[in-house]
This record gives sequence, C-alpha cells and structure tokens, in this order.
Amino acid sequence: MLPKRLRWLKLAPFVIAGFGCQGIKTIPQEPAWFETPSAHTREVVESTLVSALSVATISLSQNVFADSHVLVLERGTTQGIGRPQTGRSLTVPPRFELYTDGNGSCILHRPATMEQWRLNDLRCLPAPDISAADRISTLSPR
Amino acid sequence: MSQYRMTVMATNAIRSALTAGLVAAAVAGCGGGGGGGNANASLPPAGNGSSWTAGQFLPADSFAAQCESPRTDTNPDTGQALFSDIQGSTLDENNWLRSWSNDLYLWYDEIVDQDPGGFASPLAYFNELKTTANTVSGNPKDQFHFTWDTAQYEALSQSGISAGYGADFALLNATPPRDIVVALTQPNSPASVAALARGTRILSIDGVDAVNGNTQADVATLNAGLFPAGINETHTFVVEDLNSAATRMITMTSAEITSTPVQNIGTITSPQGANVGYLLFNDHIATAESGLYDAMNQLAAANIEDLIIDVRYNGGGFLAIASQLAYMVAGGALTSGRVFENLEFNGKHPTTNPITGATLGPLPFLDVTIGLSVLAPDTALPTLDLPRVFVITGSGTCSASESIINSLRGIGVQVIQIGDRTCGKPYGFYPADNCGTTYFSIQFRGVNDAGFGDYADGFTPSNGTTNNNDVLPGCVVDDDFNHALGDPTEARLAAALQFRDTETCPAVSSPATLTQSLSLPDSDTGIAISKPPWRSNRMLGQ
Repeated sequence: MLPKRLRWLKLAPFVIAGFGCQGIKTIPQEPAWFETPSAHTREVVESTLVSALSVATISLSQNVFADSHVLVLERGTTQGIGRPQTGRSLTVPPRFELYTDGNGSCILHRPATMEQWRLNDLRCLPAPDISAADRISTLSPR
Repeated sequence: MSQYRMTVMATNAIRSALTAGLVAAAVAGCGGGGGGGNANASLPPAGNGSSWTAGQFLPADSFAAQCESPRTDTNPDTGQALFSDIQGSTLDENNWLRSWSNDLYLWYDEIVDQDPGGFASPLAYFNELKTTANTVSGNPKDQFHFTWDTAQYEALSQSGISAGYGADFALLNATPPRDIVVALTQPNSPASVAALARGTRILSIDGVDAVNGNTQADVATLNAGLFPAGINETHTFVVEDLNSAATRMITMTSAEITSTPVQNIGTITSPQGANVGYLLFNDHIATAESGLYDAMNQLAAANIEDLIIDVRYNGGGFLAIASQLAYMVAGGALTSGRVFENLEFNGKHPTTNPITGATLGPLPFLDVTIGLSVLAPDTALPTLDLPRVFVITGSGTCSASESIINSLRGIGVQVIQIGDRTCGKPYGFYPADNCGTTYFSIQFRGVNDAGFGDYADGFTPSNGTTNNNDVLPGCVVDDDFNHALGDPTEARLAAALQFRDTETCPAVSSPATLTQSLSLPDSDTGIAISKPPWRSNRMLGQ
C-alpha cells in the first residue's frame, strides 16, 4: 500500500491496467539496483516495459538501474529524433522503481498503479539509501 | 484558513491537473482521439460519404479511428489489438480533424470552415485548421501547429537519455556561407572528449565543406553528420577552436548521451562585490527536478543576494518543473495561496478542461517534488525567497520557460530580462492521435496570478520605460559564442551583472540570428529540413 500522501498517483496511468502483473501480492520494501548491469538486464527491463505499457519502442540507458532504483520515462527521446517538445506539458511521466525481496530477486514496481513485475533470471542488490538530505550534488562545476 | 492548509490544497490541485493530463494523454495515445461534445449533430453518420454543411459539426468521436489505412499492430504478449482503428476514409479523417478543431482549438472561431472533401490528405486539411490572424507585431498568431508520426511520438525513453555527440550546434547562418558553431556541450560526452566547446566552429563534415557546400548531397551529408540518427555513427569533422586560427580534424562516434539539464551552478562576485548566484537551465525534462533541487540547496547555502537563471536555450517541457523553480526562487511567503498559472480553453469550455473533464482550477506554485526524478515524491523544496530574479533569454526561451517569467511577475517578483526576445508561447496542447498521426493544435493559454498571458510576441527586455506587460526591464544583448556559458565575461551574463550593479546596459547590438537547419540557397524544397520542429525548438530554438 502506498503511503496515504501518494495515493493520488493511483489515478494516473490507466494505460497499463491489466498488463503484465506477475501476481506479487506484497510490495517489497528494499530499493535495489542490478548486481551486474548489462545489455541483458536492459533488454529484460525494456521488454517488460514494452509489454506493460503497450508501446512499440522504449529506449533505456545501458546503465538503467545501475546507479539508482528509480526509472522515469519520457516520450520521444528516440535515437536521433529528439524529445518531443510540446513546451508546456501537463502530463506526469511514468515512474518505475526497482526492489529486491531479500533473496536477490528483482521486482519492478510502478507506484502509480501498484503493479509489479518479477524480472526473472536477474539478480539485484539492495541500493544504498540516499535520502534527499544526504544527496551529494553531482552538478558540474562552473 | 491556515497557510499550511492552503499549501496542501494547492499541491493537490496541481497534482490533480497533472494526473488528469496523463490519463487524457493515455487515452489519446491508444487511438481514441480527443474532442467530442458540444457540436451540432446534424450530419449523416461517418463513413457513408458524409456531406459538408458549413458551420455544422458532428462530435469528433463520430469520426475517430476511421482510417484510410487502419493500424493492425497487436501486443505481442496478449495478441490484443493496440489500436481501435477501423476501415474508413480520408474524408473520415478530415471530418475528425474538422470537428476536433472546432471543439478544442483555442481560436476555433477564426478557422475558415472548408469542405473536408476538398483535401486529398489529412495533413493538407490540418494545415488549414488554424487561425490566419497575426499578432500586433505582424507575426502569425499561431506558430505552433504541427503533426508527428504517432509511433515516433509515443516512443518512450529513459529521461535524459538520447543518442548523439553531446553537443548542440547553433547555425548562425544556415545558408552559404554558413556559420555553424557549438552552442553547448554535455559533460562526459563524445563532444567533450573531442574537446569541442562553445564557440568551436565546424568547417567541414565527412569531407563536405560545411561553409560553402551547396548541393543537395552536400546538405544531406552535413545534416547526417550534425544530427546522427542513432548510436555508433562515426563522422569526421574539421573544426576551428575559439581563439585559434588553426584547424584540427576530429572523429566523433555518436553514443548514448545523458543530458544534464541544470549545469554550471555557482556564485559570482559582481563588480560591486555582490554575491550573485548563477545556473544554466537548459531543459524542463524530468531529471531537472532533482537538478534544480540540488542547485537551489547549493545556492541557498551560499547566501546569494541575487540569482541569474540562464534559460536562453530552454524550450520548455514539464510545466510542473517551471512551477517548482518559480516556487524555489520566490519562496513560500510570496507564493502561498497564489496562482502559478490558470489554464484558459476556448469559450466553449469556460469551466471544465475539455480533455480531462476536470473542473478548471488554478495551477499553484508547487512546493514539493512529485516523483519526476530520483527524489522521493513529496520532498519539500528549498527556497531562496528572492524578491527579484534575473533571467537570460533568447528566442529559444519558450513555453514553460516563459511561464517561469510570467508566473513570478504575476505575484510581484521583479523579473529582469537580459538577452533577446523570447519565443512567445503562452499556449499549450494535448497532442491527439488519430489513425497514426499525432496532431498538435493549440488548445489553451496560461495566464498568471494577475490575469496576464498575452505575450504571443514574446517577452522583450528594455531599459526604457514602458507600460507594456510583455516588455521587461533589462538589456538587449547578443548571444556571445566567444565565451563559455557561466563565464562572467560572457556578454549576456556580464550585462546582467552590470545591470544588477548600475541599472545600465551595455551598448546595444543587433541580435544574432540563429536558424534551425541547414538549407540550400534559394531552395524552397524543404529537402534540408532533417529535424522535427520540436528538436529545432529544443536545440537551436531561434
């Protein structure tokens, strides 16, 4: 169950309702990232998301879930095409989070819909807890 | 009502608006189209050779997804059809456009109603479905009317990731003799590895003279080299570095680029000794939420007296990011209970968002994160609590970037503008798919807390006195490709510092004119246009 303050998110993404859930009944609590990021891990996540979101193309970084347990998708940053620039977008992009169940299994979670997908054959490690207060700026020096 | 409660209500309001937007976009993306309602139901059913009667409109839903070439794609896992398309005709598609535009286009009553049966393609008809009026300055009132292939538009990518070199090029002169310079680069990219920097000139690409090449093949080669279609494309460039008469040859291979939308955060000591913050904000993409959060924390800790936000290349994006940034600049006291932006649709929809069905209400200044980035949703945003802000702008400053300016002015924050006129886009749209084409047609305008949203000619700086709401105090200053962005001697940044100290401007020079793509001299074939309009807005934007 999402915290009460986040339940508004449940209203959002009707687009993926009914697709891809793997029958996971509880929400894992431990944020995770991939033990060994690779082209294979990316392919598994991409194919899971393509099916879940019913879109033809999803392009992920080689390092998806390699340094963060959060993945946010946006429209149209396809190779060479560029990001569609409506300029004044009111939408909220899909957000996914990666968790582990404590046994190294990887579980992809979408907070907005409470849907989850087990990523078979992949191994995950608990991600360090980086709270907002502890964040170290990665901004480029001027 | 307590201030806290007002803040909570405001936050909920913007969330509702944003959430409703996602739902609407999702429905439209599945082929359902938009529009519907409020039309006169007097024509015969679609698909039966419907006739045209001027001024009479069926609901757009009557014609939705009735396609000359229906899509038949299926979900590979479920086998279910991805689209609801059925066999129809070009006339059906044109009729959908006509009814959809009549219902939702902001200036629907300025469309000349033409027989949809007289157009051989939906695109040709769509191009007619807009106002032909001009702004006060003589520019077309609607400069944002375009389409894109739905499959390409709906493709999703990890936020901030794209293919390229990590360099944005400015075409100061797009026709021979061309002048192509690097405008900005991304850290840790092929461009930065090749030591490309702002101001580096491109002299040739893959053996083609980038300055004087004027055949169609030349232009194709130049476009292919500047804008690679994917990763692992290798191209060779001859470049001339800033302040160097020598040339050098480099080879770059396009790669996966991680965009850094917020860069160059730091403090500058003005000539009179003031502690001034600076940040370069290039893109309202999702990852900017955490970038701006970090930047504001850094600047707040530095106890800055003034802030300069450089949005000269920022063409907009998520409006929530703009709301968050405006809040972080002004702080809670100035924004509490105030309107970031009100959305106004056409006169048929005075109280309800016709796309989402939600009651129209103000978009507040957003004081927390909403999950756009790695930051947890509901993280409180830092504030600078500034009564004024300096913005560096150009004609690439567009839409959500302009809403930062307008919203802050609406609550009495003084905005001082340095640079050039902004693009003039107080408008927005909910892109709608029909039969594989996504249509972008202006549907709403944003107005600030003071009720102002009439800046279709952009915001213009002036150090004179004016009563025009779209003219801001500040200085007109050329873009300066001879200095790095964030360098206190860069012309626009230097002017901001000067104005901050003395309220005077440097000598005015004519603005540099940037263009969007390479083109042949005297060519009207359009063959050189290799980038979609949104790409142009984002990268070069002039």
